[in-house]
Amino acid sequence: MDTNGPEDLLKRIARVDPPPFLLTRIEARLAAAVQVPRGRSVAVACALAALLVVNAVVLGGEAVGSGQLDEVVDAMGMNASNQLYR
Amino acid sequence: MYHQHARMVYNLCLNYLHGREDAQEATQDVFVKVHERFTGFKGDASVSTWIYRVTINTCLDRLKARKRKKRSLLGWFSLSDEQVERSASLVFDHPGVSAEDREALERLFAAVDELPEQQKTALLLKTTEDLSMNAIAEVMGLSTKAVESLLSRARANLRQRMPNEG
Repeated sequence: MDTNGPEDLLKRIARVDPPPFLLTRIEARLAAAVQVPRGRSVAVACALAALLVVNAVVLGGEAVGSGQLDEVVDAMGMNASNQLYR
Repeated sequence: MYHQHARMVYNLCLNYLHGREDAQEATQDVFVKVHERFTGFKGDASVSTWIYRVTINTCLDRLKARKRKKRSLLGWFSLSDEQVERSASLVFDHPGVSAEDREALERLFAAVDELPEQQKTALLLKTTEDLSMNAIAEVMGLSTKAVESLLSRARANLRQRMPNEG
């Protein structure tokens, strides 16, 4: 076998031009990939964090509130159960 | 930048992927990456060397993804790595190949596809891109000695895989 056989064959491959629509497609992809401004992503992150904090505060408050409600229910001798017959 | 480098990128993609559609998609990927990363380009290499690197990495990633896909599909039939490799490069649609060379080049590319990545890259840059040893070394981030060694191993591997060719 000629040592350069495969290499000569590879060198015979002609160079071709890329299809003309390729640039249009690349431009369309770049336009589609709109960059989100850094300020907006920081604002969204802050809003989510604030939402979590509010959730935690509300849930914590509810826990305390339900304890106080039980005391009121006991003091007034009311039935807080949904069972009809006890 | 597109007009200056598109021909090189598209042809290198064709030589790695051997399919018109795949090469077009890979070329798009390359220019999108170049656009996104250009601000981070340090200028430690020439722009064309950098674009060569982006192109090679994009093509190798596509080949790996193609192989993974095939492997997951053919995994049930417990094929060997070599068989998966061969079946992953079945579609041959290279517009730069003449009709008379088509059959021989299809066989040759099947053998080239089985070479280790670095040997394959060195061989393609030397033959189809006609780059000098120094340029190949710069693109691959290796010494010229290492590139020479990769090329001689690639040639030996090809001789072994295609004993009756040439």
